[in-house]
Amino acid sequence: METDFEQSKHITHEKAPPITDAEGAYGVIERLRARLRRGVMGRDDVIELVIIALLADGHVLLEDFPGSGKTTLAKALGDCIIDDMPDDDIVTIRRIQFTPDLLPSDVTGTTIFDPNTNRFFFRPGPIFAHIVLADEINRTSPKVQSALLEAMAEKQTTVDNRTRALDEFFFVIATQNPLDLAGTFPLPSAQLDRFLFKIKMTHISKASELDLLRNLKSIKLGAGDEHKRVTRTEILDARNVITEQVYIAPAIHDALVDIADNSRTDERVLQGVSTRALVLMIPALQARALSQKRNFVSADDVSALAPIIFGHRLNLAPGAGSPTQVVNDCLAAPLDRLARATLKR
Amino acid sequence: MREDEKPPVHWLERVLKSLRYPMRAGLTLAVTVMVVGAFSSGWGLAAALLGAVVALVLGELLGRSTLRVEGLAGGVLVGLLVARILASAVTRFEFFSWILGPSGALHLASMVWFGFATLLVVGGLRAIALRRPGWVIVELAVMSGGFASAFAAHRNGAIARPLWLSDPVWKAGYDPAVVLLAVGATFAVGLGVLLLLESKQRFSVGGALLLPLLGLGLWSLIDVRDLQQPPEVAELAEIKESVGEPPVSDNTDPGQENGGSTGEAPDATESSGDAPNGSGDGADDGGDRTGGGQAGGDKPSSEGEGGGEDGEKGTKDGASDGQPKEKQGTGEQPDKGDGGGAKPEGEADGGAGGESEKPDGQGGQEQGEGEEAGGNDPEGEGEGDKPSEGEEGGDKTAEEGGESEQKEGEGSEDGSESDKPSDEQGEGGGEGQSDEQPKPEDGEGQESEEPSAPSPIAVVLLGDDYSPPSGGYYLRQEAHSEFNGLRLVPASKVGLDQDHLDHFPTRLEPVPDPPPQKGRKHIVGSVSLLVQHDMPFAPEAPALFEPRVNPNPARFAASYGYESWAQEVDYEDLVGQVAGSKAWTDEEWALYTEIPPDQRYRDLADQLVAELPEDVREDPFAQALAIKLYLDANTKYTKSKRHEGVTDPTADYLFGDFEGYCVHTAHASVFLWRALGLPSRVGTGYLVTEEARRGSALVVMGRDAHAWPEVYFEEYGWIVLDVAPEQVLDNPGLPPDEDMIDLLSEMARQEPPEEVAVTRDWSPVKRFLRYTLLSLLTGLVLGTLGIHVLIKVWRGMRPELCRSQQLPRVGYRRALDMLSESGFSRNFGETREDHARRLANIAPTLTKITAWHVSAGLGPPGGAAGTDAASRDAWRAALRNLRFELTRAVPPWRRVLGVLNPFSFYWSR
Repeated sequence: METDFEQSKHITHEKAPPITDAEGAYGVIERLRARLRRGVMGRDDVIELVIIALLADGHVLLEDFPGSGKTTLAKALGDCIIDDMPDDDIVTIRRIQFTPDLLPSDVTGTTIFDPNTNRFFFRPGPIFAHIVLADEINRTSPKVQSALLEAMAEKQTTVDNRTRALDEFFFVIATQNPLDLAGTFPLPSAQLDRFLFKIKMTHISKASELDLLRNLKSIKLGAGDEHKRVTRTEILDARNVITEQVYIAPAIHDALVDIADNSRTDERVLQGVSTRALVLMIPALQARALSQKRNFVSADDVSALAPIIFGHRLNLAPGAGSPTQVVNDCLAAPLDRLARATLKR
Repeated sequence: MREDEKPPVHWLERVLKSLRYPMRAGLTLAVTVMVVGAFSSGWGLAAALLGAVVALVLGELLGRSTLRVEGLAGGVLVGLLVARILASAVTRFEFFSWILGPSGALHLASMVWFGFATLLVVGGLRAIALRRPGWVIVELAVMSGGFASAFAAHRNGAIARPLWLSDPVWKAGYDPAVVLLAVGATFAVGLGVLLLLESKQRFSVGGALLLPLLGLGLWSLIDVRDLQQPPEVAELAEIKESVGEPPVSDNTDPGQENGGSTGEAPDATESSGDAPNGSGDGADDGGDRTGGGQAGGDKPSSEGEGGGEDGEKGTKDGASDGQPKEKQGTGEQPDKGDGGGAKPEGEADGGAGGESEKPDGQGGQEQGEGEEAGGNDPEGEGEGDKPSEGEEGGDKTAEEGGESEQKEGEGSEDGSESDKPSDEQGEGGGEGQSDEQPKPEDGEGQESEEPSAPSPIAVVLLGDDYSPPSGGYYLRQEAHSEFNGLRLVPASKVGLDQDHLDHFPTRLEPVPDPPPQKGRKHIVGSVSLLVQHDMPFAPEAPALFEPRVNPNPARFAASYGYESWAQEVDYEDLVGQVAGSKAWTDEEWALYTEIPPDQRYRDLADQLVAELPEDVREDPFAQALAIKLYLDANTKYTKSKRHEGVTDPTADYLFGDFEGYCVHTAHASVFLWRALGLPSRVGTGYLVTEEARRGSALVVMGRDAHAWPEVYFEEYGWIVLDVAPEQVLDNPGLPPDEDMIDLLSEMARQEPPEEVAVTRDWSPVKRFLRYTLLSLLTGLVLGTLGIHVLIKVWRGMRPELCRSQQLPRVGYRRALDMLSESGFSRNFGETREDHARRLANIAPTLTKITAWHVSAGLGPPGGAAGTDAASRDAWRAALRNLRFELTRAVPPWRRVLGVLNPFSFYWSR
């Protein structure tokens, strides 16, 4: 089943200057952060990660339960983005509610016969959006899941043997319910690998929850409008700046390799961290560094991101416990070495 | 996956590791034997061994089970209690003794207790050690402690324990100290190897290299002392029993050999028992008193001795039976108990068994022989005493001398009575003891005299360097000047021969009649007695005695100081001196010139003098020397001839075969001198040759007992002019152990035992090692501390001295050092930012400093230049802030401790 969001309000905007340096990129992050925090209360950590994923050109898998604010988050994110190319038929945000009877064409779009012209024309599916919210992704059949996969990995989709490119911006937020597993199709690890982060959301704090209830009315009235939005181009520029200008010391590379190595030799791990995971991690680290207002990647970034980047990529032996714990164990020694390295000449 | 997998464990290593099971079993059994063997034997020990084996298996199983450690420990304690109750129940209830018999019940009780106790302790420790690997150390500590406890009595090599181990070793002729050390070393090595095998780590050759070094260090600290040899069983055995014979007059024995046989001991009292040291101790001296016996005189006085020492007298059963019987000593009163003196020492002699002592007493009275068992000291356990018989030849009036000897470890002693006659030993039956001697008696016993390991009886320290012109140190105890018809004995009349003390000084006490000082050197020193003695002796001529603190009560029986005027005048200078003193009364002249009524003495003396050149023919010293030289040339030294059973042993010797020992030569000299009118007497005591002196110490052996002739010159007093027989028929005894002499003399000087180097060959090496190791160790410790203090100071000053590009590293290191001193180190695996966040409440500045540091360390090269991170002022301010924040957060004592700790920067990471 397919649900279209009401297209975001079309907001006129002045042409922003292109983003060319870290400072400008950080400005993008700040604007996103401020708007999102206003729209989604008590989820600062998740917001931070979503921004990082967005700027690192990765996708996010949220594992949580209904009513925890996923849609709100996605909606708020869509609300932050100004589509500065209104002519390309690509909307800012689409939501797909996955069900078992969903078909791939429901996701990708299909070719329709136009009796007026006697021709088939392609009608894009919800996947043709800047931001796609894939709700309960594990409820649909693998066929549909794999259709989404191609889009996530290649930023393209194939319908009727014709491959169509998706927008450069393409960003997927998928969710799944960790408890209600009956009749689901768990994502295979190859598919999980397409997600940069798998974030487990917890209940928000008591104070935030209270705050949320008190301010319910004002939030509904379109909170965050006082903060400026960012344009699609600004985000794409920021992505470039981040990859180009945030420095990664060789010691960090060493540490990453050591961590991967540790995960592969750990007795509790059947299959360790893949090289692709390391490759995907680099922009994420850079994005986080910038989000901390740093122009270099620090050990702190590794320590913060490794559990959510590696956690869902490890294939653990039965009884090995939580993946986060395993990842943290693999981290300790390389991080310690990294910390000592900075004291050396 | 990468290639670098863990290498497989080598099969050899696996085999080696599995060796720990049999090793642990062996060591555990050894400890069980050592510990339980001390309390129980036979059944209890067997049960304990069985329990140990079962415990090892059970412990391994329990250790792999899921029982909690607390449960295991509690179970062991409860089990011990139950075992104890069970064991006492077995002995308490008649039921068991009714079924098993009383000894069976006792065996059962000890089996229950030792078996279960071993089972619980060994099994519990094993299981706990398996569960908690660190507790292996407790298991090993219990094992080594248990093993060591069996040797605990064997400290300083003084006592060889456990006896069940050392006795057989002794019997086999080895030094137990070495064997015990070897046993201990083997055990220690076994424990070390076990520990090594226990380790989960792989073997490291480097660690093994440390072991020999450690061993070397230990070795350099340990002295193996082998003082006091155990008595030799053989010696004891040798003593034969005496046979009663006709009385011979002399009893004296040559002191030389072991005192034992011959010597008479001065008063019997000394019992050897005292000698503290282990085994054989004390021999008392034999020898001194020779005098009495010899003279032909016969009357026994009955004084003291009667054999009856303590009462028992054995009859003599043939020699061999050692059944003592008791008779009373006929002799008169038993004065001293000495006679026997027997000091049996239990230990050693045990072996000797039968023979050991034979006292003899002769009882004159009673049957011809009375004997007493001289030795009876009850203590003697081991030995059988056999009384020998003495008969008396002449009259049998009463007398008897009882003597007994004992043998002890080394020297035997003989008991003699003090003033009285001396006894003979073994069999010698009683000779007369008392001053007067009864008639001749005879004792005969000889004992075999064989060379044996010498036994020390005293240590004489010379306070001044003094070398006697005669080449020997004459340690005079007493003088024999009165002729009793048979031989010379101490003057019976009070006031004569008062140049010695007849008792030990209780205060500073001069001798009543001090020697003249002309031609003599004043020497001061001390004497430490290893065995009880009845009278003090000192280098001739003693002038005063004083009590002295015993330097080592465990080793010495008594100690006293002396001052002597030792002869310094050369013998040549005595030519022309007048013999005797004008101040003497007629009585004294008579005392010093009385000889047996035998014309042959005068004839021989005159004949010898006649051979002198005319110009010196009338010179007293020349005359004395002529006689000495004659005796030197003609006499043959042997202890085997005693000339007993004749009326005038001296004549029998001098006009007979010339074979005899010191007592005979001394009497012969004196009688010949007296025949010429030269006042002379026999001095008794000990002779230690100058060669035997070790430094300033003379160690007196039982065999050094000696009698020598002295002649009086007006100006110089009594001068020793000893006869040195040119022919010696006996085998020389074994030389004394020099190490032992050094050890004893240093103990007598109260020097610290560390100085004692017993194993002389190794002592310099050990000293060097000890010195090297100690200084290395000290240097290492001090050097390490010093270096660390320097490093710490350097690191503290470095932020002010370094280049500004280094500030982010050096300044941050300084900050970390400050945190370490306060105990806030980064945890393992924590990133620098995590660390700063953790301490953000305590030290907010750290967050900023960390950012500076990280940006310099991980940021783009050169990125820090020009920012705060490279500004010395910024760093200075930040570090000041940090110190201030820490001052607020940390109690002062903790900061002082941190500042003083030179190693604190190791926690800066």
